[in-house]
Amino acid sequence: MQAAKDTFFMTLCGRLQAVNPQRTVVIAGETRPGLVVAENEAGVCDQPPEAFCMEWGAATPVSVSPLVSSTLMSVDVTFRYRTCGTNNGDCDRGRSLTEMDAELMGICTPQQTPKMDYSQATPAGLGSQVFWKAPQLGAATQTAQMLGRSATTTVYFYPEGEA
Amino acid sequence: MDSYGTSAGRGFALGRNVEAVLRSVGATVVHVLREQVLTGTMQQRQLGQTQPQYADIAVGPAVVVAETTPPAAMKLSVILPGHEVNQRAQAEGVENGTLWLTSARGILYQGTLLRITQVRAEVMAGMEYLYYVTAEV
Repeated sequence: MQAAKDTFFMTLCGRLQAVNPQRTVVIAGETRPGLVVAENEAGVCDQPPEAFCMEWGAATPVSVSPLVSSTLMSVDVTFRYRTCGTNNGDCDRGRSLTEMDAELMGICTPQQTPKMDYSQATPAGLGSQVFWKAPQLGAATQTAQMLGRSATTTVYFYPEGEA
Repeated sequence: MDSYGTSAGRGFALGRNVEAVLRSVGATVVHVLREQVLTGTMQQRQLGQTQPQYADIAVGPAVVVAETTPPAAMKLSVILPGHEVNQRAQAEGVENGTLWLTSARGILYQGTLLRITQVRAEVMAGMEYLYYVTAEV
């Protein structure tokens, strides 16, 4: 499953750099593309604004029927993001959030990519695909300066060594 | 004098006052763990494939209040002085104390590592003079 998670992240990260190279985040003094995986970062409540934060959820076999022989699995993903607009909370928060919505939808299309093994120095193909549903955008949440949202999707994959 | 004019002085004065009050109530010291050295490549860090090296930074005076009683999992409310935290943040080139705390690995207290799950800053005259931190196992 780790290869599927790594593949999904690296694919979206690469697409984000193409869609909006200015969408970056500084973590521990290092400038990175503005998409982070919460479980891979040191600070658990650190969700920087103007960036996408991915959280992996429940993983389940897609078929639980003994009549269907499939090892296909799914894992839920939540994207959290928030923005204060271009002027620290002034009137264009909504426009900034809409831009982030569009970027998220953009990087999630096309909804498939070849599954790769990123545990090696040179990523190697694993012979199957990782594919996913279009993100479902949740209701916007507002604080004094920030407008944010979470979006969810489901990623499908075959476990390593089985396809 | 900075862009806040003389009001910045009120912020600093309040910061010092807070520190004195925290000391007077028998404050202790907590240890904040922060990533010290970047290890591996950026891709490895993004994928969580590296073992970070952490610096153990003592911060005080701090007031620590237990939110739970054993055997429940430890959950603490920690009150930290803004002056001390902001100094640490500035030394590392971090924008403010809130970011410095939220991006930390956690708080080490009496040998237990607790995750920082919430940080709230009190602000006066543009200065964060006090931090309320929630940390739990």
